[in-house]
Formats: sequence, structure tokens, C-alpha cells
Amino acid sequence: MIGHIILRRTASALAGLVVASVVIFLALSVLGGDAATVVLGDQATQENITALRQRFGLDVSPPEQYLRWMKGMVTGDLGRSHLTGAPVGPELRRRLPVTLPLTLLGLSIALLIALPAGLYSAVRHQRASGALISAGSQVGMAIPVFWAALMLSSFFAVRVGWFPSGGFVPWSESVPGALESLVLPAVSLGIIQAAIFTRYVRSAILDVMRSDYIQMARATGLTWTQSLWRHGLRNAAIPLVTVVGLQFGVLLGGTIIIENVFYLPGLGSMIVGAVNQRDLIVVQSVTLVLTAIIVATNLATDLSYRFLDPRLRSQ
Amino acid sequence: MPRSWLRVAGVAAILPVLAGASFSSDGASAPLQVEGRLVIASELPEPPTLDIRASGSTAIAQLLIYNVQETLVQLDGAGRFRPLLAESWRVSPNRRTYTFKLRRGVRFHDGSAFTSGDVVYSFKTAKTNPASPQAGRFAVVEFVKARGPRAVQVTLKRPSFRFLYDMAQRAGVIVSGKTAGQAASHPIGTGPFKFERWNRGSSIVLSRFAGYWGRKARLDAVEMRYIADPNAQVNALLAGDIDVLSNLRAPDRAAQLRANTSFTFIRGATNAKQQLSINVSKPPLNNLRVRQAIAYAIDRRAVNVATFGGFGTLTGTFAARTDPYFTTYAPYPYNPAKARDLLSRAGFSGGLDLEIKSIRGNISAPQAEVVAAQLGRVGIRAKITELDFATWASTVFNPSVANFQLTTVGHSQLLEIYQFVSPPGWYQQYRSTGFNRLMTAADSAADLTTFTRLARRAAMRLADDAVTIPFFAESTVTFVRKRVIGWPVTGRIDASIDLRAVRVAP
Repeated sequence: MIGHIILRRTASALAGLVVASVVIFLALSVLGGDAATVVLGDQATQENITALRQRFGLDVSPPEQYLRWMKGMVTGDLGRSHLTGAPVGPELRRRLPVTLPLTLLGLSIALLIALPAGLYSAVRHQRASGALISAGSQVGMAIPVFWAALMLSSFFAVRVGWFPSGGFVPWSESVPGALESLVLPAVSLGIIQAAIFTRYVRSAILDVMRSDYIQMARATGLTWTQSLWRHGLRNAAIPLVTVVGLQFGVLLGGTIIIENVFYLPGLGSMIVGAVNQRDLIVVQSVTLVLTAIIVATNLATDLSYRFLDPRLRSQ
Repeated sequence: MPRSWLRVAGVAAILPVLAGASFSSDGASAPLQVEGRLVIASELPEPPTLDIRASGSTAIAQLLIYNVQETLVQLDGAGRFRPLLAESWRVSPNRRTYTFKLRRGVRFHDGSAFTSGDVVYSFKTAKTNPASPQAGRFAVVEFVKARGPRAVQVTLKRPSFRFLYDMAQRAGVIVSGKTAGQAASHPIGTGPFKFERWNRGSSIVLSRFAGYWGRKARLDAVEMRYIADPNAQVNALLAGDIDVLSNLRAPDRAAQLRANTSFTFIRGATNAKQQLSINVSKPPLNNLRVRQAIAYAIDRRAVNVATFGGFGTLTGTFAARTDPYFTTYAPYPYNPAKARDLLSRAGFSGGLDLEIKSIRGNISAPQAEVVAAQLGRVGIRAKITELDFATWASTVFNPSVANFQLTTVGHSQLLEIYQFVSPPGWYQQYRSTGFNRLMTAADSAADLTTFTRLARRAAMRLADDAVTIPFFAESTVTFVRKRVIGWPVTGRIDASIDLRAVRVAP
């Protein structure tokens, strides 16, 4: 039964990826500008540009470019950079160990702050301290990620000198070194995200606590807090897991900005560089891989409901 | 407790590890720990490829020219030609034939010997490879011939003053045919530094080449870091993660850095210049009076202060301080009253709508804002369209498209006035027989004095025609840690940061 469901959900996720690939391809094709003119600079003649477009495979029709790309993706070939001729796959594998841990660390930090803060502000929602956290999270949501990153770097890297201002020590060289280079970026990402999560946690708990079954529990003599611990939290977890799953994609996107400020060699800086150079095959393939990661996360979220909520298991 | 919460608790358990890691650091990555190692932050975006002969990227030239890859001749700080891979050279009386006598005992980083064959290979491929961005520079070259292993003869179709200048820049870089194929990821040259590795997305590392023919490099290693955010560059310097900030791009932080006694402030010359470029092919901008009105409406001093911290040298012609024909001539001093008068005489007393295209994330964007405000004061309603660099390069900067009216832009080449000659009129579509005659005469000049006189007249002609409205010639605004000695203060030729004499005090 459960196997059947997993199969069905996986199939629809794959269909979603195919649609995403078309959207990515179309979106990039309307971007304007091409790699040949960017590479050649102001010295280029029309003959140069034509010759280079041909070498880059940009002289064939868009549908054919798409089919070539898809054929490669299916066989696990992510293509080759127009500019350097280097294969995209190995480069992506070198950069994933920067971006993925950064995203997960950012997420963990966000949850570590948001769960207690949201819970506290829900429990104390009628008191000043609860309202203060709620107001604080409003302010936090309004702060741009790059500004938070620059402020953290100005204090912890420049003033106090606890962390490097940027750069990345590869995991293979030093694990503490790699973690150290990810702390400030992850905190920048995490604190802003924490503000968003705090509001979700608070409202999810308050929503649940207004439901009939909690009223019923209260009627049996449980206090507000007792009913929250016994029945409320688990029920509030479902909307929260949904939000965390969805926000994972937002966080992954946020790494693009963070990697820029902390000059981390991750996927974000790879995409930005490739977009600027119109190395479209790189942008396409990396974006599709990121989309696949997000789709997989959402799939996992989807399936996790069944573990959190026994009522869904029979469906 | 539900399982998902337990998982969160598990993640919480690793946080103390993180915190521990942060305190255990005692600057293992601090740049000055290793003797003679220098970490520089470039103001430019990371190069897309390291093949200097296949790309117009300025960042490649900045790092590789003179350091990793060499040319036959070089330009010194005073603009004089000096020998490099060529020991000497001779120009025939008709000034069409250059014979370069090559240096002995020169080796490429892969150990192979440098011979005349490498020069012939480099020049021939630069000229004939259809994807070579240097092909235009070599159009004047008729043929290249080896005269034995130690001499090369280049014959030009006509005398060209520009040719030797090109030989001192990226067009003249000498590579070996054996290793040219790997240049995109592993450039090989004859310079005092050899390419070590490219940490894509962050930095490029060079190390001293022990087999260098000349005076060996003083530094053991150089790391060029690419930090996209200008404020992050400053933070990296203040945090001690880099030794040199190559060129400050956050002018509002200059005062803070200058007040800091750990750094030396160096203001150097460069080929770069900033201006408002006009597409002169279509109405109303094909009307000289309208262009003159724009020129009078622009307050260069305000543009310099607002967008460059006042570090630029105000100019009136399309020339940088490193160009031999540089002049202080400025035909259109700031005069908004005159601008309004010219507009009404051109038939636009009711004002005029124009579009400025600017480049996102570049100094071009704030310049467009300042210019639009200044034009507004004389009745020109300027709408700003911000483009990303690639779109700008393919639609504005592409002479065969030239889809724009006005654009704020910086250009960074030496002798860049030649760009208006070929392709004709450049992206600004400037076609003037008078200007072309002056440039043709300048290019076939017999000596520097004649060249300078004629090229200066051409530059003044261009300025009078209000084709580009120059703001200022850039200065490099460099901050180096006090222990760094010998940082080059003279002009960066073709953007190159000459690291040959730089060292770190013990």
C-alpha cells in the first residue's frame, strides 16, 4: 500500500521535473545576450561571433538545443561549459558540499531559534514577552539577508576576528576549517529564516489550540499547557513540516546571495557567474539539479505526513 | 516526543561542535603566515576561462600579463617600450617590417624552450583562428616569418603605430603550441610566476617559477581572490583575510580605510576612463546641438564625487592618463544655461525624452542616476534602463546591433580611440571623415611626437563632436598592508598588475 503511494508520488515528482526543465529552458532563452559576445568582448567581429556561436552549439534551433540537453541529462551527462569546455557534473559535485551543508546548517539554526521562540510566544501570546518575540520576528523578516550577512561579517570577522570574513576551506583539507567557514553564512541565513519560522510556529500552535479536540481535552480537565504537550504539538507539526519543506527551496535560493557576500565557491556563485557569462548550459543543468533537490525534499515532506499523522496512513 | 522533533534535537547536538571549531582557530588561514605569500582581492569578477587569447575578460589580463605570460616588448611606467621576450627589435625604413631578436635561455613553465616557432604560432593563430578576439588587431599584419630560431620578422600591410602597442598587450602574448590547448584551465607561459591552481568560485593561485630567465619573483606565491561584493572586499581586508585590495569599489569606505594605519593607500594610474556614450546615428542624437546640450548639462565633478569618491581625474576627451595623447582639453565645461539655450535652438524648447542604458552592479548604474538628474535640470527627461552585463554587451556594445541612445560606461584599454576606426564608428556609430583622416595619419606616423600630435587632434575632434561625454579618467585606489613592499604605482597596462617586484617584509 505504502509502496504504491511512494511510486505514485515519485512519478508525479518526475513529471514535475520535466515540466521544470521546459520552464528553465524557456526562461533562459528569453534572457537575451549570448556567451559568444560576452566572451569575445569589444574586440569581436561578426565573424568571430559566428564562429564562436557555432563552437558553443548555439547555432542550432532552440528545440534541438533542448533535446540535446535533455538527452544528456537522462544519461547523467550535465553538459560542458561553453566557455571552458569543462564538464558541468564534476564542477557541480565540487560545489554541492558547500551549498548543501550551508543550507542544512541555516535550516537547523533557524529551527533551533524558531521552535522555542515560536512556542514561547504562543504560550505567552497574551503577555508582553510573547508579543515582544512576535514583534521581533516581524522586524527580522524585514531585514535583507545580504545586510544581515554584512553586519555579521563586520562584527564577527572584522571587529572580533572569530571567523574568517569569507572563503571556504574544503572538507578534505580540514573539517573544522570547513565548518568554521560556514558558520557566519549559515547564521546569516538562519536568523532571517528563524524570524519567518517563529511566526509559523506561533500561529500553527495557536490554531491547533483553538480546535475542537483541544477544547475537548481541556474539558476533561487538562490545563492549556498539558493539552498542548499531549495533543497540540504533534498536530501543529504537520503544517510546520510543510512550511519547512517549502522554505528549504527559499533557503537554497538564499545561499546565492550569501555565497556572494562570503565568497563561497558554492552552487549559488556558480549560477551567478554562469548567468553573467551566459554560459546557459551550466545555468540550466545546475538549476535543474537544484529543482530536483527541492522536489525530492517536498516528496519527503509529503511522505512524512504519514508518519506524523496516523489518520493519513490508510489513505 | 514525535520523531521529527528528535531529529531536530540531533542537529542541536552538533552545534557545540561548531562553536568549538570557531574558537580553536588561531588564524591558520591568515595570509601572512607563509613567508612571501600574498593574497590579493581583485575588483573584477572571476574570469570565465584562463585562456587570455580566447576571451576579452579583463580579469585574465590583470593576473596573467607580465606575471604568467609575457609579450615580446613591454611598456614601462613612462610609456616607453622595453625589451621583454625580444632582446631588441628593428623597424625597417618603410616602417612595415619589424624584426624581433629573441632572448636566449627562456623556458616555458612546462620546461620546453622558447623559440621563434612559438612566436609564429602565437601570432598566426591569433590572426587566423575565426574565434580569436584578437583577429582584428592582427588585420594589419601581412605575414609572420621565423628568421632562424632566434628571430622573427613581422611584415605589416601598411605602417602602423598601434602595432607595437598591441605587441605589449594581450594580443602579443606568446604561448607554446604544445600547451595552448589547455590554456582555458591551465595557462602556460614564460613569466616569473607559474599557474598553480584555480579554485573555481573563489581564487587563482600562482607560484614562483624557479626557471625564470630574468630576475626571479620575490614572492613565493600569489593568491588572487574574487569577492563579488565591494563591501565584503573591504571587510576581508579589515579582517586580515587579504593583504591587498586591488581597487576599491566601495568609495564610501575610503575614509575608513585611509584612517587605518595598518594599510598604505596607493592611488595609481590606469587606462580606464568613465563616460556617457552616445549613439549618434539616429535623431535626435544625430543633431550636434542636442549632443552639445547634453555635454554642457553634465557636471563631471559631481559625477566623480558621487560615484567614484572624487578619485578620478576630470577629463574632456576620450583618453586616460596612460594614453600618450592625453590632454586636459575640455570643450564643454558645465553650463546648464548654455545647455538649455542649445536645446531650444535645436527645436526642443519643450524638453526632450531620452533613454540611458546602464549596467547593473557596475559603477555605470549610479552614474546613470546622477546623469539623469543633471539632464533633468536642463529639461531632458532621461529614463534609465538597467541591463545585466551580458545583455548590455550583446545589444548596446555590439556595433552591429547598437540598440541604445545613451549609456554610461567605463572603457579600459590603452589607445582606445582606435576603436572608433574599426569597426567603423564602433558601437556609437560615429562616422567622420575628418576624424578618420587624422587617425589614419596618426597610425602611419614616423615617430611618437607626430603620432601624439595627430592622435590628440583626433581625440579633440571626437570631443568637439560630443560623441562621448567623458566624466573622468580612473585612478586605481589600492590599499596594501604595510608589510607589502614594491606594489606597482605606475599605470596598469592592459589592466595587468605587475607583481614582479612585489615582496613581503619579513
